[in-house]
Order: sequence, then C-alpha cells, then structure tokens
Amino acid sequence: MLTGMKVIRARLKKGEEARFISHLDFTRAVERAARRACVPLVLSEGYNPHPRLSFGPALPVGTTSDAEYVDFYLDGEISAAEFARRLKPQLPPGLSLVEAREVWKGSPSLTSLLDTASYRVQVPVQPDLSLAGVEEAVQRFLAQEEIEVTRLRKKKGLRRVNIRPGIFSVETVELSGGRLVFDMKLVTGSLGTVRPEEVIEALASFTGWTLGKEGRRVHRTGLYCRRDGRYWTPMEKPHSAAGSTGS
Amino acid sequence: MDEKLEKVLPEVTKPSRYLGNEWNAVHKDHRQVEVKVALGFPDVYEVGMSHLGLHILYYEINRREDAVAERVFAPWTDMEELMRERDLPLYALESRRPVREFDIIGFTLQYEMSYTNILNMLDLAGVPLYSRERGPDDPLVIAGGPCTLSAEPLAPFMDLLVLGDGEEVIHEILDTYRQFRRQLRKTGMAVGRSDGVRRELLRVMASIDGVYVPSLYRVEYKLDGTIEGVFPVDPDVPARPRRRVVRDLDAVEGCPRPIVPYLDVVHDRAVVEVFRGCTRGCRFCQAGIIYRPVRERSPEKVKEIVARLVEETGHDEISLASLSTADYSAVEETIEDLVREYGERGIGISLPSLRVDTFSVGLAQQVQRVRKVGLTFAPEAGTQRLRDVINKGVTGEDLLEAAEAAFRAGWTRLKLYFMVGLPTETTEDIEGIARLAYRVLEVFDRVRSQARQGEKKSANRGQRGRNLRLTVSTSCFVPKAHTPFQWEAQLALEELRRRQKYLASLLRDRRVEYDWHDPDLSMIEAVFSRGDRRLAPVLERAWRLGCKFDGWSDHFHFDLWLQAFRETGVDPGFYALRERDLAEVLPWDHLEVGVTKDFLRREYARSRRGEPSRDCRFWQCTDCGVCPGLGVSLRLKSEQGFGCGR
Repeated sequence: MLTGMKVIRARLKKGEEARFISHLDFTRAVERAARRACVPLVLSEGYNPHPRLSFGPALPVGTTSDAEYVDFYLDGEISAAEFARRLKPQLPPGLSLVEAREVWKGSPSLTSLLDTASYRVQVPVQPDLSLAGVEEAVQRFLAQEEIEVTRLRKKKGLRRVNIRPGIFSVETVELSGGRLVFDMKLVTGSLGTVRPEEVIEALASFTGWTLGKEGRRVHRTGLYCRRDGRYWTPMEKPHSAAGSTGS
Repeated sequence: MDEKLEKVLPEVTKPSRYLGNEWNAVHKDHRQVEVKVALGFPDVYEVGMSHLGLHILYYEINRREDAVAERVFAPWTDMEELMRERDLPLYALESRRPVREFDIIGFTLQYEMSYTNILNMLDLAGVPLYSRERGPDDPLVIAGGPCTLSAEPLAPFMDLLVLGDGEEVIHEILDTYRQFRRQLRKTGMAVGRSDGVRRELLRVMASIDGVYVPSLYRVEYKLDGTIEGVFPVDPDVPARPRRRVVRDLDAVEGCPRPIVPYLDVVHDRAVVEVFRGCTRGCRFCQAGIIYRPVRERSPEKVKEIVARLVEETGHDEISLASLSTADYSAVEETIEDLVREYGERGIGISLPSLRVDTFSVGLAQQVQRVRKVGLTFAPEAGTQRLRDVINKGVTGEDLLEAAEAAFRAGWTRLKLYFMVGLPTETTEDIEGIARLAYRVLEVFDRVRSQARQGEKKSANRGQRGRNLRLTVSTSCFVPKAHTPFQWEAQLALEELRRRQKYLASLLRDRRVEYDWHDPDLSMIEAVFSRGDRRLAPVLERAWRLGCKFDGWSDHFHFDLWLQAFRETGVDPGFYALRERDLAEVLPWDHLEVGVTKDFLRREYARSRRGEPSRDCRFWQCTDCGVCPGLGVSLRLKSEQGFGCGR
C-alpha cells in the first residue's frame, strides 16, 4: 500500500431508474462519477492507467439494490465526509450514495469479504393462496435435503445443481393484492451464487403454484459477511462480541 | 406508455439503449417550450451515440429556452418486434413521449445504407412516409448530415433537408417555425390545418440559407432516362439552395456537455473537433469536398472545450477529431499541453485517424493509448500510378518509413486500408497491394533482427516481442456525388469479386490477414449515393420486403434488394455501373455545395492523366470555388507552419 493511500468504502443505492444498467456499465458509471467529483483516485501502473476501484458481487440486470458496495482507493487527505460531499452530486439518476466510511485496517477486499446477499422478492401469484398456506409450504420446501435446479452453463450445456446449502433463509413477508413478498438470504460470491429467481422457480415446481414471471421484482436489500451465525455488513469489522466498530 | 415500456424492457437485449436518463441527458417540461424536436439517428443506440453531430445539435437546441431536443434511435430488431406486437409507438428517450407528438423530427443522413431505417422509424412512429401524405397533426420531417447533398432518393419522404453545417441554421429553422406558428395562432389556425398552410411553412423555410425543400423542385427527365433539369416550382423559390458553412469554429461551442452513455458505445470517449474540412484533395473522397474550406479551431478554444468535457463527462479519453488530425497546424503544441495537463489524472488523448507518415507515428507515440489497438494506415491504392490517379498524396516510401517508425516504437499490429475497383485499376495495381504488404513484413523483420542484436550486445535480454499481425483490408470503390469521380462507373460485381479473390491468392503469409467488404453492399450503396427521385419507390419496396439495418452485414439481404428493383422496374445498373457523360445533368447539380463543377471536371481530367493536385493549405489556391462561392475562407490557427513535417 502506498503511503497516504486510503480506501473509502461506499454503499450505493441502485434505484428504479438504474435497474436496467448492467454491472459492467454500473462500474463505468461510478468510475466516471468519481472522476467528475475530482476525488484523488489512485491510478494503476502501466501506460493505460485506470483508477483503482473494486466492486462487490454483480447485480443481475433488472434488479434494484440498497447495497452496492464500492471500494475507492484514494491518494491523499480526504475525509469520508468530504468524499461523500463531492461524489453525491455527480452520480447519475437512479444511483445514490447512502454512506461512505474509511475501511478498517487490514479489511479484506469486498469480493473476499462478502458471501451473503439478502433480497426482497415480489411475485404475482394465483388468487387462491393463503398466507398460512404459503408459510407452511415454504417450511416444507426448506426442510428438503436437496433442492435441485438446472443451470445453463456456457459451452458445457445444462447442469443439475443442489442449491439448498446456499439458501440461508426464506421468510414470507406478506400476501396482498395478488402479490407474494419474500425476504431471502442466499449465498453469493466466491463460494457460489444462488439467484433469487432460482429459489422462486424451485418453489414453484415444488408447490405446483403458478408464480407469474411478468411483474416479478427483485430488490437486493443487503450484502453481508456471514460469521459466527451473524451477518456483518462490510461497513463493520466482524468480531465475536456484539456491537459495531465504525472505522 | 411507461407501463407498457416497463414490461417490454426486461425482455430485450441491452435495455439501457431505451432509457434516456444518462448523465447530461436533458429533461424539459414540454408545456414550457414552444418547439419540440426529436433528433433521430437511423441506427442503433451505440452507433448514434458515437456521433458528434448528434451531441452538437442536442446541445444547441437545448440551450434555447423555447425549445427541447430529445433523442430517438432505431430500436434493435428484438425491441421493434415487441413494440409492434404491443402497440408501443416510437418514442423519444427523454420524455418517453411518442415521436409523432413532436413538432419536428430531424434525422441525420450519415450513410446511404441507413435509409431503410428512416422509413422504418417513421412507420414505427405512426408518421406517414411521404411528405405529401402528411397532414395537420404530423411533425415536420427534416434531415441533415453529409448525405443531404445527394439524397434525392429520399426527397419524396422529406419535408426539408438541411445542407451543410447544422449548428447555426438549426436556430434559424426553429425561429422561423416558432414565428410562423405564432402568426397562425393570431389568425386562429394551426400549423398545417390544411395542405396550403403546411406548404406555406415549407416555402418560408425554403428561404433560409442552407435549407432545401425537395417538394418545391420539379425534376424532368429525358427519353434516355437522364435528367433534363431540376426546376423550382415558381420564381420565389431559390434556384440553387446553398450549403451552409460555419465560418469560425471558435464562435461555436461544439458540445461541451455531451450525454455520457452507460453502454459501451462504438466511440466511448469525449470528442473535440480541432478543425472541419480537408483539402488534401483525394479524388474519391466526398468529405474532402463537402466540408470545405478548412476551418481550424484555435488551440486555446480546443483546450477550453476539453477542460469542460473533462469536468462534465468524467471520460478518461479525449479524442481530437477531424478528417485528418495530423494536419491540424497546432497539433503538436495542443497534444503536448493536453498530455501535460491530463496525463497524470489518467485521462488520455486519442487521435482518430493517422496520416501515412512518420510524423503521425510520432504523434501516436506521444499519446500512447493507441498502442493497444494497433495502427491503421490508408494508402488506398497499391501503386504510385494509381495513387496519383486518385490524388492520394503518399508514396510507398512514406508507408514503409511510417511502418518502420511504428515497429521501432513497439507496435506489432498494423492495418493497411485499400480500395479495390478504383478508376483505371489494373492487375498490376492489385499486385501492388500485395507487394506493399510484403515489403512491410520485410521492414518488420529487419527492425526486429536489429533489435535482437542490440539486446545481445547490451546483455539485456528482454522479451523477444510478439510477431507482427498485419491486416490488409479492402473496400470496394463507390463513386460519390460531388467528387471528381462522380461520373465514374462502379466495377461490376463479378469483376470486384475476381479482383478480391486474386488479391487473396497473393496474400499467403500467415502473418497477413486479408479482409474485404461485401461487393453486394457496395453496389447498393453506389446506387443510392448517386441516385435520383425515381429510387424512392425502390427504397419503400425494399423496406416493405423487410430490409433494415442494411449497413450491418448480417442484416443485409441482397436478394430482397434485387427483388425490390425488379418489382419496381428500376435498373440498378443505370445508377451504379454507368459512366456518366461530363455534360450530363446530375441529380444533385441544383444543390450549391460551393466547389464548382468546373473544378471537379478539371480534377477528373487530371486524374485521367495521372496528375496529382496539391493542398491549398501548403501550396497555392487550387481554385475549387468554395471560398468565393460561399463567401468563406481558409482559417489556420498556427503561425508555425502546418505540423506536417514537410
């Protein structure tokens, strides 16, 4: 690490207006916003230097999120508050800055730290379901030892995968207006990724329900590091005792 | 609208093409403006967003309080299918209002092979295709861009065409439109309430310098199919509409606040134009005529615009654009200053086109970034004789020296660009292309063996370096209007193919890759680039048969085009393959481009004698007629010569 270099970790929100922006396009948009904001970005070496930014796990196109984390490698004296003040007005519509903090010493990169994503999923459903019925079915669904889904691999063709170990929780939030709302925590990142859509599809085939495709909405509510049975956001250093250390 | 769209977007590829909320996009309340303009680019988003002209007009219109400009691109085929299926009309990106609710739809005509997309977009918008069919509530359909100077095949579809530079005349068009409508309102009528009113608006527009209203001209033909003459319908209509020229590029802003796309577009960078026009005088080149004279922007203005671009966009690459940036008289000092100012911040400078000489390689080395992608040189023809015919002022030696400089500087990818089927081309000229390619290989081997010897001596055994990848690329010559070759015939398809094959047979080295353009496509381009109004039905027929995105080789259907010609009884050979008589009235002769037909005839004669002509920037006036004709003049900004190293 260069002397004087610091890393500021930012949490961005990706709203309705930006939900069709792909992950790659999102990274470029953030990089450009940072350049417009004139924050002191550290550049990579080489004759085509580019700013050092690192991002958390990719968000599928069409998904909104409250928790897109970015590490900015910065050179020189700039506080997290000043950083936030400069970046905020430069973010394009649909992207907004929620918080920015200097990361703790020795923090792993976002990709090695984050292993869990939480989602709120809204699905249009057939009219004859009851909340109790749904809750009961979800319990039975989760009680299975294996939940197999089919994944299409590039070049390798179809593959059957057991996603049950990657489903940490599924909670039924509400059933109203023909919509079923779930909160789920799923594995993400280097350990493998389970997509919320896969869980919904598996649930549909398990129960035989008709879960509408059109109007289905997925929102990422958080990204975490799962340790000691607790979920830590990347803004806090995971530790055994309760409480949080900011910076 | 929004609801329907929200349902469609998850189903299409690259939905962010259709959003309209990129950084710097302008959103205005339509109730607060008097004139609404939809700027239509008849190709997909990534192509259109790479076009500087669109950003300039967007900026010019939106800086007015009384007007709004929004964008609309050709929806990709998957999007179009869903739009048609679900009754979603073509909409402007920013407001998501249907395009047909706008006052003006302005298309840009960048290349002939986008014409079917224009018809398709009008159809998707629900606007009648033909100018004469449009009624009271339909928008004014206008077009600008280089092709308007020879866009007769589109004439029946267009209400008016803008000739030449658009950034000044657009304001006159908007002012005129607004005034006309205010007056009508006073008299209690709406624009185009009846045919007469719409026609009256077009008449008023026709009096603007740079505006051409095709419906106010009548074309008469001879028995042999050639044109007798093009006549204004009455004495009030200007006999020869003139091309507009911005005299001073320092007086206009370019676009200091361009929209920053999310998508990786074709040219993903900020652009500053360093000059407009080119007087090198290549005889095949239309841009070399229709953007005359050369008008340079001062280095101060260039740097001022760059500073704003950096601040407003966050791009990491600034492109110094022009038809030949190495010819900018202040190119070295400008690059030096920009690299010094922005290099440390990781913002690079790029040069879109290189001249074939060591000076250009030096510039490329200075800006470094081009290194990754390799260098492209365009000698255009394989022998000196043919290069003299086309007046491409470079020699084989220039090319070899430039290649050597590039190899010494570390480039290992080189692309050479030629044309096949140029006037007077012989077998020897085709062989000359291969010969040049092989001499470039020899230069590379020599440079490399010298470098290796140097390494041994210095005991510094670095990497051996990669082998050369040389690409030879040929396009098919397409004769263009307003050039000294406008009278030439295009070579027949079989002959073009034969020559391409012959060249391919000569380029048998694993380090050389040969790629060539589809002659079928070039033939259709040749038909429309010198076409007249009788081609309009062919265009419509081809579009109805399903032609669109013709510039995309995988969407181009030659068989459908041939069917369209057959069904409309039009012979494509008449337009593509026929050599014109020098005295023939050409379909674009009634448009005053500035350069005289007499100059073109002289250049044509010189080409036949193999006589080169020189550039008026470095030599004397060639009497092309543009300066006295349009009341403009050559503008150079540096006292220190021309940065051309000559």
